Amino acid sequence: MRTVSLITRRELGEVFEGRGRVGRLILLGVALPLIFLLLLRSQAASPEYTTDRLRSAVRAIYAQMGIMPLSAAMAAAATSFATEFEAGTIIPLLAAPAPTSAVFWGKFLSAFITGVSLGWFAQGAFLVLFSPLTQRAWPVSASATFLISAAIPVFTLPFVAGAMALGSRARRVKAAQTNSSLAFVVILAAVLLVVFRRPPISASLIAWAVAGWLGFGVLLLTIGIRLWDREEVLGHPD
Amino acid sequence: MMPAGVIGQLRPRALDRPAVVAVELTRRFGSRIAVDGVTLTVARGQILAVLGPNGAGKTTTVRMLSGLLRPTAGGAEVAGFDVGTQPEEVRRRVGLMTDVPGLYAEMQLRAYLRWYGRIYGLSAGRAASRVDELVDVLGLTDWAHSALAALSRGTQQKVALARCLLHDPEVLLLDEPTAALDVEATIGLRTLFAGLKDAGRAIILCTHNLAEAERVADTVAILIGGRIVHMQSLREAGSWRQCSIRLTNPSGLDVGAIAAVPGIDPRSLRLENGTLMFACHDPVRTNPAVVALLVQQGCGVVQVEERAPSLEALYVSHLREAGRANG
Repeated sequence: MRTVSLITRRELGEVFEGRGRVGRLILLGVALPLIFLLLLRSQAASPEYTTDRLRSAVRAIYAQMGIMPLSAAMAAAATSFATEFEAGTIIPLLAAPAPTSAVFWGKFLSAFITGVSLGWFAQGAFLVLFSPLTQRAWPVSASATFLISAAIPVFTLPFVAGAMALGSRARRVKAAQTNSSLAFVVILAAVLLVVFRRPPISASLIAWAVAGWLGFGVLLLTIGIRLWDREEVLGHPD
Repeated sequence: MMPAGVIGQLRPRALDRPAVVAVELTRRFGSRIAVDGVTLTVARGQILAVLGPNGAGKTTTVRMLSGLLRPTAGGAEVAGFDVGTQPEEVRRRVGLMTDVPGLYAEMQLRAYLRWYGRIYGLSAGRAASRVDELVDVLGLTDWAHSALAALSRGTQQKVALARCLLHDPEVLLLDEPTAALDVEATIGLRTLFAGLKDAGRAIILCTHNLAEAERVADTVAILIGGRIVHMQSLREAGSWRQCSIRLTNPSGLDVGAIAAVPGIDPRSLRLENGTLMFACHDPVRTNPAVVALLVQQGCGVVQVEERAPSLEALYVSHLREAGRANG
């Protein structure tokens, strides 16, 4: 556990340390809500735009605010191993007396935390900027707002796990990026499904969806750990 | 020489057996054999230099001995632990230095080494004090708060050496440690290796640099095509002399009769471009006997020479032999 935590903290430091990086992340987290709010602004100003319609639109957009920054975390997860290969840092790390899986878990947790925190940051920015920019009160109930935010970690898990699995054997960053782009196809399909084909929501459907989604995430993690094999990785000496 | 505090005492149980024992160590990748039956022993306080061209299997051998790769066949015991069944125990006792420093470019030197100390299982306090010791001994104090990317290649290699010494390993596996270093940095590292050797650490040094191997190693092994084709103690090699006798008529030569002359190493005997070459311990006694035999065989002796054998000549002859064997 200690090794996992050390690796996670180092990777998070790489993502969040330094003014330039934090600045870029804030920009990413704020720019997205800002664009959507500006698009929503003109519609929200129209008297024909009812509170019900606004609520429905805001719910979908608010959910997407949490999902879209996930692409940054997925890219980081997919290229995590390849970046270390290219820099020659992976061999000293694997030579340490820690299980190979600790390296995988450390990187996964770092990408997961990055994805969730970026998603929450973007949602927070959307929530804070909504009223000042649209001149309307926040139309979604507190409980629904909370549920949508709470769903972000659940939603993040399979995507980051999938990106890790796709990138675990890549030795070059470009190859890992290509692999991770496959996962973007899935994320796009999921977003479109949520936006255009919202099924009637019931408590049991949500429970089943969450359980199925988490199960899918665990499956992807298992595949990722299997693929992330020291023997395979080091099987091609440079 | 390293100050005594930097290198700890070896475990008592570790002292009664060689630090590295590999027997028929083999590694296959699919149908390709990277390492083919390597057998070697390295005692404590000894440096074994492994020489070989690119792709000879040096890196794979080092990776197996450091517990990174499992052998396909054969086995090895490092610091008393089996590399196949106890790789984590092996890694706890081995320091691995690769040809590329492999540092996290944006971390500061001291923070990086402390982080690695924790990865190697040291407590936060122990890691901090160990890092302070090594930074001081390796002359890294001026860069202690610098980002690793800002350091010269030589300094980065020193940081990599500090990283592999953090847990005070019993065995050091150094894969091209002086690659791309300037002369001053190379001399500095060589002095450090000598200090580690004096402190009883076993060192396996993979290198292309024959002069470096001759300077620091006790034993050299030549690895070609995954096999050790030659292994000898350099002290033992120092007592051998390389003799060459140029002949006018080599066609009458009876190699078998020459090989039977006392004092000749029969494995070293060969005829190249009309010159008979062999190694012997005592050329003052051996050469007259060989010359007499050659005259008797009607070979016509033109010139007799003897000199200390160079590692380079030995290495090149093995490379040529391997080249001939491969067609």
